[in-house]
Amino acid sequence: MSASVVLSSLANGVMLGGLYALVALGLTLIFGVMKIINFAHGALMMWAMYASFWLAKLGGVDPYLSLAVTLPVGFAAGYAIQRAVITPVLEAPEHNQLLMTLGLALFLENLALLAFKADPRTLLVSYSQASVSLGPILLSLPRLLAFAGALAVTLLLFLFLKFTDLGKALRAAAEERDGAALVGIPVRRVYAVAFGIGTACVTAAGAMAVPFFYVSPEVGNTLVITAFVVVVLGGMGSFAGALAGGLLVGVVESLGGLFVHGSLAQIGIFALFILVLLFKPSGLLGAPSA
Amino acid sequence: MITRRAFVKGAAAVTGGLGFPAVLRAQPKEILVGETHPLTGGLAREGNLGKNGIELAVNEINAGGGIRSMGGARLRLMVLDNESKPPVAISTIERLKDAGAAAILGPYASGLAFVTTQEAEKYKIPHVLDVAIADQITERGFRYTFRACPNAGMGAKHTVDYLGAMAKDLKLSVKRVVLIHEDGIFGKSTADTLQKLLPGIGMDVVERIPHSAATQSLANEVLRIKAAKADIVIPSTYYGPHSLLLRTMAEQRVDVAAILSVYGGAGSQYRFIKDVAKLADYMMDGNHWYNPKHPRIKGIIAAFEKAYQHPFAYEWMLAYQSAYVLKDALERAASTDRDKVRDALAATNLKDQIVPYPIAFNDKGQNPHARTLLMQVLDQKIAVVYPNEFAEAKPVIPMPAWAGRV
Repeated sequence: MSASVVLSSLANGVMLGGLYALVALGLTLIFGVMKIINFAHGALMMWAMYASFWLAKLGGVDPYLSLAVTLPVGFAAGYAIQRAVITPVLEAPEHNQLLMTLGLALFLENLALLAFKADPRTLLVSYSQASVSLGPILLSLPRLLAFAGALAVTLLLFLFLKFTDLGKALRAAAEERDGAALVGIPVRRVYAVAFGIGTACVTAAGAMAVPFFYVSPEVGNTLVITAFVVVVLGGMGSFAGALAGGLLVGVVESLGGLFVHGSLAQIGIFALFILVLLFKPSGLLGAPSA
Repeated sequence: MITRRAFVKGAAAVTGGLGFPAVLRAQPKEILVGETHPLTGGLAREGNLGKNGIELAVNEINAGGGIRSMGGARLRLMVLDNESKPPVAISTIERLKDAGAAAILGPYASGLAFVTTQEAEKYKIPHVLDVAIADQITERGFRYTFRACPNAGMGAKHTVDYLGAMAKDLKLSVKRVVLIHEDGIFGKSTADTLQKLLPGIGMDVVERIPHSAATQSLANEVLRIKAAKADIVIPSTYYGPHSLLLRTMAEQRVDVAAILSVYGGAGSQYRFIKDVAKLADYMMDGNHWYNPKHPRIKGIIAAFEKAYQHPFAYEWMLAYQSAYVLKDALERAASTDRDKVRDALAATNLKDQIVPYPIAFNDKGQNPHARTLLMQVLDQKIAVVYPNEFAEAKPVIPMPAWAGRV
């Protein structure tokens, strides 16, 4: 195996890992704040992908520009979903919350099946097949853009959480719900904001994936299962963990794919997943108490 | 007081009065034809194409005077949705049995056909398959299962034969083949068959690359194709990965002489051309297709487009054909008795059909004459390029480099 093949594969892994990280970020935010595992995350991403797809197909809007519309809509949808269906089960036993998000996922998927049929659709934009050469390797431009976009969104989110009042309120509610409520933080509203931001993350990831992937009603499933692994690997609720976990999974999957075949490449990731759960359940970068 | 004699007389008059007008109206009889298709769920697209194909055929048959040997009896379809789920498919066969269907058409997918044929066998109802190509379906000694189209193994063999003949005709120096397949039963079994057949036409399988059907990226796989210096890439996978493979090869500028699939997920489909436009050009695929030289085919395709606003797809054509196979058997059986229909089907000998082969069944219910054709996307159209007797265009091998066209 030549060095350029390994290098290309490494680069592909890093680029894909960036996208995994962004999907995982939304998931880990929702979990960190509300302690809810959002199974509907993938279905929401799929709807975001369709939104970007149709805006491009019918309106001629580039997927990156369509974010100007889809991000606010994604946030609002997440906010509304939290208010309408998550709030009522927040106090319910955990399995009810799981079933609620699972039900939501099935509902959204079947709705998409009804609306868009099972056909996978592809969006070709002017730069879909463009590539950038970096020494001996060719980097696909849309993947590179998605990687850069994912890093940018992650950075923005990090700054938001660190320095804004709302961000601080989010972190406070995540750490100590009752304490946060005591000092006057409107916890319920903060929860809805968290769900909104989580959905916006996955909306961004969806739009960035559209130029090099395809859209179909079950497209979210494959990506979100990987995102679950990333979240557990990085530590439930940990942002830095989501980023590191995303890159790690991307690289392991990509390099693994060079040496072992097909679905086997994912065995490494799932083995890692089980080992982490057994020996360091808080994840690589998670707080031990999480 | 009504005597017994008077009562009998009156009753006779009443029943006679009821019965007579029916004879006067001379309503042609109806023959109930069952159909099970995945109209919802993951296979909804294919199932609905099949349903429309059968509907078109049945409308033609009825408009043309129905089944003559039964006094012009009309075919009446009872269409049940099996929701793309085998357990539901089983119950559809039970319902069609109870409704008295003379025979059953459908169900497009092999996974569904494994159970529908088994149920039909149990109840002794003739079952004419439209697609459902898994070889094993007709390898179970069933007497009531009939399949007119080529199965998976036949398709692989034909495509490899065409490739060999084409390489000879065009004096191509292509030798290195890379097989890329999804690692489930469909992709793996096709690749196994190809690996056995390809050395027979002097080609070497230099690399075999399995991938997960749910993969998010084929970048690595394409790197390996490049490293293997492939002349020909043969994908056997589903629509999504097939499309992803082509796009990644274009992205990485991996040039090969041909990308040729066997029953390819995205092969020989107008929706794929619509989806990826010029990236689909020059892609080759061995698959079910119509006989382009048949005098009626243009009219049938036009009628389908007019009725359902859908371009040609082999899924509906094979379903359409299956309805004509049944019609021919009903005509010869002159009865709706399921065993008589079954015997008539077994004696089928149809020529001059829109499919490029005659139809007869061996003792397993498979049509041994069935064959696939080799198509290539040329100028955004799907053209038959092999064998020569059906060819509409000359194959373009090697295909032009990506750099000049994307």
